[in-house]
Amino acid sequence: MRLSDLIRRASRSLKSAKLRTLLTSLAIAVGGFTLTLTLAGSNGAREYADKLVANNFDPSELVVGKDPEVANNSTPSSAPREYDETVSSFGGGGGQSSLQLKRLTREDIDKIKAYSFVEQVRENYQITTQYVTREGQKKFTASSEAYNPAQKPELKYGTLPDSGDIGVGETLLPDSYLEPLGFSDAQDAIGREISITVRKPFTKEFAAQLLGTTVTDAAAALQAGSSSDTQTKVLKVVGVTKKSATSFNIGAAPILIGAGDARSLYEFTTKGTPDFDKFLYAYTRIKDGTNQSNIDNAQSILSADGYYTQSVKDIQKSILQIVNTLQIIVMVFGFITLIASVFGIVNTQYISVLERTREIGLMKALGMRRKDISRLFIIEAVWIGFLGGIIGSVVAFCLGVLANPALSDLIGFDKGTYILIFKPVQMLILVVSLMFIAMIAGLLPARKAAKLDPIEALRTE
Amino acid sequence: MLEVRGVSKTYGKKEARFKALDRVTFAVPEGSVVAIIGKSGSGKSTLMHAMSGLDSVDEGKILLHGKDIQGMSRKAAEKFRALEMGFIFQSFFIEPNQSVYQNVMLPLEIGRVKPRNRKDLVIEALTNVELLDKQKSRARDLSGGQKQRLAIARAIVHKPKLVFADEPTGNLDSQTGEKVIKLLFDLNKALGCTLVIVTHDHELANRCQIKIELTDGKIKSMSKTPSSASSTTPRALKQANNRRVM
Repeated sequence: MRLSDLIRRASRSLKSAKLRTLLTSLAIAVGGFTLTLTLAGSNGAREYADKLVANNFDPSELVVGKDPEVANNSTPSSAPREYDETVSSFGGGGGQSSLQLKRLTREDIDKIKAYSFVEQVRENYQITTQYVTREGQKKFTASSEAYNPAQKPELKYGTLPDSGDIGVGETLLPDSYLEPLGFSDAQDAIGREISITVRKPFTKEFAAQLLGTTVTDAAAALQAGSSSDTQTKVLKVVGVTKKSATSFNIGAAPILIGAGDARSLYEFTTKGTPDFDKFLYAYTRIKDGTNQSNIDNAQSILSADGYYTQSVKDIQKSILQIVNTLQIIVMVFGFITLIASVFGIVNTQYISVLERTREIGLMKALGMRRKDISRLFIIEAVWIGFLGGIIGSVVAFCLGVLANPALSDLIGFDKGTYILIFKPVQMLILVVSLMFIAMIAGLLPARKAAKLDPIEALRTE
Repeated sequence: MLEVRGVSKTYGKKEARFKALDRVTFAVPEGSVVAIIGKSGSGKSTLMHAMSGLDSVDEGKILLHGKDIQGMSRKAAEKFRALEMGFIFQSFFIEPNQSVYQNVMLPLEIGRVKPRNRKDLVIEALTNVELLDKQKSRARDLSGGQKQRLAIARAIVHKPKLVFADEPTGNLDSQTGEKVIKLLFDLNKALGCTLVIVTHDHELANRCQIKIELTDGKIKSMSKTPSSASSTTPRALKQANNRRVM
């Protein structure tokens, strides 16, 4: 029998048992539906991860640090580390051990700058802001950090420099501070002044001063210290940033200041501490860094010299690792559904073989080859897989298209950015895969049909 | 020429051994109508299955135009059946959910007849059995007589050399049965194919050119009648009976 005849005959057989065909196909469709949505979700997540990285990192830059945690993309190591008194500790609290992270020194920064492949080094200043306020307004807690030209935050109003840093004494204010600081809108804030205040930490000298006094005097000294050991920077608002779904910030968005201001605040808050003029990491721009081989080369040289590095590719990989893990989990459920549907197909086809014993006998009597009988039943199973795949994919696509705007709103994506991205090629491959799985499921019943004794089959009532 | 030479067939083992055919030998000329008659269990169905290559024999040969069907490989026997044989069964064995047209098409699909030649052959076969007006109907919607005529159309559509009819009137009332028999005889004359009718109906057997009576797997008697009860040949049959199928 010609393949085209077998396909037509198989489709007619399925048509004659419409309800059974539909129900069996639906079992496959559930798997197809889950897998289509999973693939669409991971496409969206991948695209989102790409945007996230593109909006927050310069592909020509490496994050370079001295502590292994700088290059660690997974959970921080839980192994005990040798205590180093030259390194400050982060308080763990709640029974957790404190964490010490080795920092880059000024010598390290100079050494990194001296590499022939390095174009520019920007130190990372970690500023502990006490509060932000403006004349006549209340004080509000805030975080501030140096503006990163690679990040290009989304602006609600104002302008960003085309290249390089924002100016000294200038700031980009997050829109969440507009109302608390008494601005009517983003436009109103432009050109107006705000102030951020930082405080010196306890130094040895200050502690000694406190220890040499009475309790009453100490309280007074603390009070005096709190006013004399703070620094306030008055900054002009040049732009108002808005919260973006492609921002790396968790919680309130930071107030962005120029590198010069950041440096002076950082030095003020760290002077007299082990962290003075030390940096957790530095952004290191590599010459011709858009060429991945230059990045790879720089990473291997820096690594050989005891530095830990992370490229955009590494960061992307770590984000995708999470996406992939989630994808695998959902796909496992999809495959479990498919396994169940495989048994459904086997069962349906077995029943079909039993019901059509006489038909099989007749076809054999008329000279139909065993191979063709087997192929007929396999093609029927493939048809079921095809129908299930189409139903599952199309329903998933329609639901996805309908749900996308609501999901994007929920996640906080920009208009036009969707979490479910359907790719026709993927859907096609999925349908073909389901047809293949159905074909495997159809093998056993097909074999049974092919091996039926025609005489016995013709005698069947 | 269809020749059956010393064919024996035994079923079962040890105490359950049962000899279905015992050195059966006969020969029938091409184009004749042969009745194989006998009681239930006499071996007539076994003989038909052996002659069609559906069942193997323990010994003996079955030759159709000099080709030993039993000596063929399974594949070759399947091909031989697809091209040279047609089957009509007591229970019609039609595909109820398919259309009349699609039912008749089946042997052409199995025989890998070129698609462009199929339509004419199906229409010709349906015209021969006077079912052309029902070609689009579902087979299950036909009456008993129409179903058997459909089975006849399916048996002759590819112009086989040998047509087996197993109790062709067994499920029909006498009037419809008579019409079906008349049609079979007419087709035999028009197509020139050998028609082997397996029956327990002596009246029908007596109208065939050759009557072979089986008892306990052995030929009890074999008689020849000068002419069959065939009558008029349908007009359509006269037109294109020697057209090649392939």
